[in-house]
Amino acid sequence: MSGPGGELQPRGEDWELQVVLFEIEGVTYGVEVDRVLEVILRPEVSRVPSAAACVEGVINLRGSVIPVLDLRQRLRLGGDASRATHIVIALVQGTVAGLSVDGVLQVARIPVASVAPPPAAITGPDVRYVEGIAKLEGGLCVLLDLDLALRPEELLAVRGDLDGK
Amino acid sequence: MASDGGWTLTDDDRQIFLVEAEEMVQVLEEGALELERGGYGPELLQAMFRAAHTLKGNSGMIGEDGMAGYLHNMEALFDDLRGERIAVTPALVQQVLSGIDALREMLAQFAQGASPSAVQPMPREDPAAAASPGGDVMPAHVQEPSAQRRFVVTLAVDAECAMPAVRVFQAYQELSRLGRIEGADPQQDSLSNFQGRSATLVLSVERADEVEGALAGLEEIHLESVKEQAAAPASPGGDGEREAATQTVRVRVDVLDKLMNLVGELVLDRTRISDLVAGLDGGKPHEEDERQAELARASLHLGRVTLDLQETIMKARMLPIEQLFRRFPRLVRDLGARSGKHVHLELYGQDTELDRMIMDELGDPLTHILRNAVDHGIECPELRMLAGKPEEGRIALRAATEEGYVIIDVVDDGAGIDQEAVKRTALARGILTPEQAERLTQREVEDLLFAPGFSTAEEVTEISGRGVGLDAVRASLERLSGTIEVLSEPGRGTTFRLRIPLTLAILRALLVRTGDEVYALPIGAVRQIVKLSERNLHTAHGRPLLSDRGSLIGLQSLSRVFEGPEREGEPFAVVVGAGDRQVALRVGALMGEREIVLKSLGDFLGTVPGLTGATILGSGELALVADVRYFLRGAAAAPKEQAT
Repeated sequence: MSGPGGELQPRGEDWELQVVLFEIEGVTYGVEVDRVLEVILRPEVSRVPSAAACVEGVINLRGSVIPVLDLRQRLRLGGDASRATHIVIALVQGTVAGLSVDGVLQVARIPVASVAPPPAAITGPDVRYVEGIAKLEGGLCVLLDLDLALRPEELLAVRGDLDGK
Repeated sequence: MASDGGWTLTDDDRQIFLVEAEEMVQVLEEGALELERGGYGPELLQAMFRAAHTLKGNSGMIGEDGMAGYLHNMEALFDDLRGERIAVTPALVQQVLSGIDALREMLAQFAQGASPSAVQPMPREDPAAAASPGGDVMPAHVQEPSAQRRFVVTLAVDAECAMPAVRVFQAYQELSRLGRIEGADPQQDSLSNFQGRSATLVLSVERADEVEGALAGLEEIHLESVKEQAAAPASPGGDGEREAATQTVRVRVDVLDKLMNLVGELVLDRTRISDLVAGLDGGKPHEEDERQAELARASLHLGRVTLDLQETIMKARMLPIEQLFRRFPRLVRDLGARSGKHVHLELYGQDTELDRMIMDELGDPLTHILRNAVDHGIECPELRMLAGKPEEGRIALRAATEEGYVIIDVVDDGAGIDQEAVKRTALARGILTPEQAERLTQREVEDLLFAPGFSTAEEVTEISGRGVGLDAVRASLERLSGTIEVLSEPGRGTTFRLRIPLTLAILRALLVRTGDEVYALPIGAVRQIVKLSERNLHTAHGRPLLSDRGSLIGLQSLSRVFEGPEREGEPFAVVVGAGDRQVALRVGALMGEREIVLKSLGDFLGTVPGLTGATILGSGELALVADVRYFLRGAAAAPKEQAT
């Protein structure tokens, strides 16, 4: 989804997106497969004191320290990360980060034609990171632009707020 | 944008061009400052001419004709200087410096991907006019051109020679008796693994024919050629530069980082294996099991090799501090000129090596301290005369290594710190109460300079203001696990002393556990470890204190500091400190001292207060690396309790 231009660029009717589908709090989300480095079973996550609320902590991924981000916070889903079973290791903003998810469903090919823009009811500054809604056989899937959903300066800003109070 | 022909400029080409250009510009700038001070000779003019010439050639080669044209004029100017057709005047120096600034600007544009051809041409001096007598000609303490000449000596080792390294070493030895070896490939200290069949070196010597004689006594090696290094204007393509460049290879920074990471992994595995071996040892002595003894030996060897590898890679990441220092002479000169002061910066210990990453971080703090020295330290020329000092102010920038640390001193010969003025400012800013001001020692007064809010908008000047005070400087040093202190002698000058660890990547740390979290405390900050008991635990004003050999130390729960739950009855306290501040941290368990590889928490987390990063333990578990200074800040704010 997030091609070089950061936007959906349909290249003809038969153009398909390859998307990794995962579930958080019962909602199906998708991110472009090129973004995803791997999916791992959720290991022990070490808490990082004073980090932003959507930073769950850090994990050891074969010798590298990788931050784990909790999309629940960012997507205002409620619930908590303890239900998460897997971590999707993805490239976000050019760095490697993990996303806590409740389950990974599959890798799907989605024809671009079946992707609808986000409905007007949910647009607004908070949902810029929704690229579109894709119709799948089993229901709908929210396509995410991770770069927009997880901008470091926003995460830092969140921490600033916490410090301030 | 760059090429006319079919050849396109790759990113690598651009990068190489830019790196070389920066070196040339640096030569020009250093030269210009030398010219201004008058201590130059024909060699300097020659070097400047060559730098302009080479850069011109390079610019032309990549199709940047605008830049090449500009450099053509600059080259012509140095040619005139060299030929004594024009003289060095302050105006000319200024012209050269402005020219260098314009070049930098063009290079910056080029680095951005633009083609900087639409620049004004370098103003061309008319030799006749410029050489007119009676002008403000600067005296040149012209150095005698030395009788020594530089030769490029190429040696060939016979094909059947079993130990080429030995032969080349002997040849170097013989040649170094004749004159100075300016450079060699292979370098003398990297000869031990040399297996090649030829060696090249640059030798400063009076006569070429001596070279052959010196080598006559050696076997299996003979002289292939002796060529004088071009001292005349280099022919297009610059043979001279190419020969000097063969001693080093440029390595991409990310490749080094990757190597460093891999070595880090290896260090961890080594620790893991030696832990395992230690575990096996427990039951019975080695002799009973030959394989176990073998394993222990292999583990020991692995440890040695890893350590060696680690040190070597670390060395590869180190750069001479000259890379950082060399931009400052110009800075200081310009700052001085702007405030009507003559200030000269002297550089010492430029070959002191420092981790590249740390060097990057030191630029801003040092710039600030130098600005400070020029603005507040060095007096104006009249005052200096009155005080019986030379009109020209001196600032020395000195680097040296001391037990795993690099010490950088910024020493000025200015007025020193006015203690009373500092106290007045601190009072006015509300940093200090009048009662406190009465009792301050000199050291404490000087420490006030680093207090947040001490430097404010009121004293913003073009030079040192900008509302950033020395507190910001101290903060940046603390991020590097370094310290800064100031020493001042009224009337004699001020010294800022910076202490920075040689490298941040690998450090020894004490691992402690609180609940299920593991933290690493850098060993340099650990003063001692105490088992808590009723006898050494106290409370004063509701605050827990640890009494230790007559002094009382504030006690904090590590878990609480890091926003964890209160953990009752944790049995140990680790006293950490820096300088004259210390604090005791209460922890649940001690896991011993280890070598750890410091890893960044990454862009997403940025700088987290109290943490410098994370590390991975032998068990695969993660530990957060605590920034001890974070605890000490709290300690400094708390009232000091002293037992008598």
